[in-house]
Amino acid sequence: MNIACIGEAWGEQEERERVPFVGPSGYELTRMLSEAGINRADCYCTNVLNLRPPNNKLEALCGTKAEGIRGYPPLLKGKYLRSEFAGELNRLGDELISINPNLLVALGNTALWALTGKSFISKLRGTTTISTLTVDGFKVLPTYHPAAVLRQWELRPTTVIDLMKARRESEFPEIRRPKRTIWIQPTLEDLNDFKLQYIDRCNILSVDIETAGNQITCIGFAPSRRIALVIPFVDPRRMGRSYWPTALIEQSVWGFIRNVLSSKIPKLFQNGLYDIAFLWRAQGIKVFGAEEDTMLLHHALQPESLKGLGFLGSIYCDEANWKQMRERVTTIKRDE
Amino acid sequence: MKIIQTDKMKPEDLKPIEREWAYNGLDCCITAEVLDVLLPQLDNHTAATYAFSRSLQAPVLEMRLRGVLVDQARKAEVIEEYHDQLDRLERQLERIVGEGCDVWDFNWRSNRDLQKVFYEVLKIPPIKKMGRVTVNRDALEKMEAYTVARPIVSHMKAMRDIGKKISVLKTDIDKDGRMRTSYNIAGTTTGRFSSSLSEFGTGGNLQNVEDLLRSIFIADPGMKMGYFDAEQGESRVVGAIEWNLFGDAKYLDACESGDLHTNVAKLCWSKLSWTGDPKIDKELAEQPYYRHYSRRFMCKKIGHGTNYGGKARTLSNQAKVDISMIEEFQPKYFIAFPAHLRWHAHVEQTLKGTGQLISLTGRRRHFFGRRDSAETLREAIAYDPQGSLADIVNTGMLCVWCHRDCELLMQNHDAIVVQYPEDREDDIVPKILAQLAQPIQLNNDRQFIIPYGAKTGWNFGEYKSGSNEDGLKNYFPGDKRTRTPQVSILDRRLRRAYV
Repeated sequence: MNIACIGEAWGEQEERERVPFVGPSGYELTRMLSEAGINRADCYCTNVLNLRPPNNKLEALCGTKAEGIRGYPPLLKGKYLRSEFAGELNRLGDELISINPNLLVALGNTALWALTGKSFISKLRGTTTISTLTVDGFKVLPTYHPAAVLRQWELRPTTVIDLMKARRESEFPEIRRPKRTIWIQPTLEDLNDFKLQYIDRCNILSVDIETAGNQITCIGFAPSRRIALVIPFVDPRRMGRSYWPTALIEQSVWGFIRNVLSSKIPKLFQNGLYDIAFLWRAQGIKVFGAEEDTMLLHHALQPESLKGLGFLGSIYCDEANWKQMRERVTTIKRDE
Repeated sequence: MKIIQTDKMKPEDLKPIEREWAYNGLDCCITAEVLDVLLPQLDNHTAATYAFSRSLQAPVLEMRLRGVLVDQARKAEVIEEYHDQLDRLERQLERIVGEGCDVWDFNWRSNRDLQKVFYEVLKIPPIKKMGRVTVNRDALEKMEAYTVARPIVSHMKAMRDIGKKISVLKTDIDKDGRMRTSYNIAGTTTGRFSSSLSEFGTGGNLQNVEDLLRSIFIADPGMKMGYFDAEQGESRVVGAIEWNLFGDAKYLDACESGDLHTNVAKLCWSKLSWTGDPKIDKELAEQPYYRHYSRRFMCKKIGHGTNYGGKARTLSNQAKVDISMIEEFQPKYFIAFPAHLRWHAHVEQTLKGTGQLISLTGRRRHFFGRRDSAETLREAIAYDPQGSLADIVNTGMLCVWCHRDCELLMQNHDAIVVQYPEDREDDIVPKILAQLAQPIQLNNDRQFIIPYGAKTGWNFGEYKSGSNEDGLKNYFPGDKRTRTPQVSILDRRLRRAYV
């Protein structure tokens, strides 16, 4: 079996039959797997906990940090799974090692926690990662638990799409990330080289700015999905926090950017009105040829769906969860 | 220069600032990849919607960058007016709580005091959120069911609302004295815009500005403001939908007859002595029917809700009209306009069958909610009128923007606000009205145009003789008014100190 679906714990029916995913959630899981092109019989289904928590509440199984299982972070806010349930995690680990699937589908927060120590399924769903807890080194794809889908039906299309990705990912055990090259810390000469080599020849130029307060901290240009140039303006490690050594050089860099953005090359943005307005108000730079916008495009296709770039990336790309790379968000840009 | 290969990148090995740069580069690459995946998915409907959204970027950007001038003196005045209201309510509430509950050191901003009054003195069963006793807005609304709590709750709600309005008024405006907003073309599921803080974190939502606040927004010196709103827009769209689907023109004809609500009243109460004279018939429709509500009101308010599948109980709660009156009105209304029920049934059937609807203006929406739920059905029924009207208004706005006779200031769902040189009003306003009236071709060679009403003035508030002479007034050629000289914020005598 190439896919293992891991849920949280037994419900009423599961407890009666002592089999995972046989109640309403199990029925919904089977339907969603089928819509994603996966035969449930080809999946190994299990739970983090092969038991039914009192009143279906995980809190009842939790205690203080001292009572928790060593090495595991809290399962719920400030609440740790008590050490008496460590056997359940060992059992899960043994099951997965004996099955040795290519992909573990973590259904919901509890499964995500058991395999990676992380939570926030809504932020981490849809992107593959490597398991670090309970079993090491397995490829994990988190998505919503079918019980959550039954409660919030609007999560269903996203879950089915995640399961479609699971079908693709189950064909190989390793994580395959797209190859992309990013030029950072450029000199003025590098900018001109990049323009000559890539920008001047591209069909469309993807542009994105990062901001803090009223300032642009860096601007990126990608002439294709494979390569990008990042032009920084702020570097907290340098004197005066400016990346460029002199005001004159920085002025030349802005001249370069003005030149690129006012060229005839078609531009692509995600929520471009924000970037275009900011560039004009902060630097007086006019953008010409803003022809495509992925936020507007996705809204035209699926107006009910989320449309932030993180979400679009999780649905349409095989990239890691790059939105988690930022330590703190300094922008008010809204692309949801 | 440093080069990062993202397939081998380990974010934890990068310095924080390098992570920020790699993040930016990935944003650009992934945007390019998403575009490659999405473009082939477009079909005729979605390609047209996308093209329309893109065409709106320029006017929206212009409005976003221009912003609206704020009358600082008027703003200070409005804040004072709100503080006065707040003081008055505060005194009343202190009296109610003191005399009624024998609690004399009551502070309405203190949750502890509120909990004491509601849960200890008035003995209301405690309302909890996440296991904790709360007196938040939801809790207050639940407490309204208790007669004993109602006077306190109504004061609390009013005071909290005023507090919110004051905080909105104190929102930062830009250094040039203008308030800016960031309209989001993809902000709602229907196609309407949403609006929020500007890119510099100033301003706020300019689409739902409350009446008292409106007068703080003014035209630039030498300019005059024009407010153009689609008349009975959503109702007309409902009529157009029914014509296209079933060839039933009754509702569209009623909308286009000039006075929709009187005509609806005529159809619902056909045995009354209607004369055919629009003026006399309107007077008849305006006569009290139930308490102080007229038949015309019933047709306007209840008819609108009924169009969207509103049930008698819900509409009764919303309009504060006895349920029996609505139960009596709705069958009459459906007999007068049988296509309404057919349309609702059509939406329900389409929703259950395909889960998606295509609006009159060709916008497609796939509904993610349960296809058989009442909530999804309500959303689906409202989708076409709201979405199509938004598209029609935005088409008009685009046309106005292309002609360049005026400057766009705001878009309020079914209305636009512009400014133009005040000495050219009689030349420009008729042009704008003509530009907004975009014809839409319906089935069987019928053309459909939503007319617009125009109001003009120097500020966004309603005209009031004596108190707001510069406000918006129905447009008639040759407006004799002249702009009231602006008072500088420094010349005003303030009644209170405020931050």
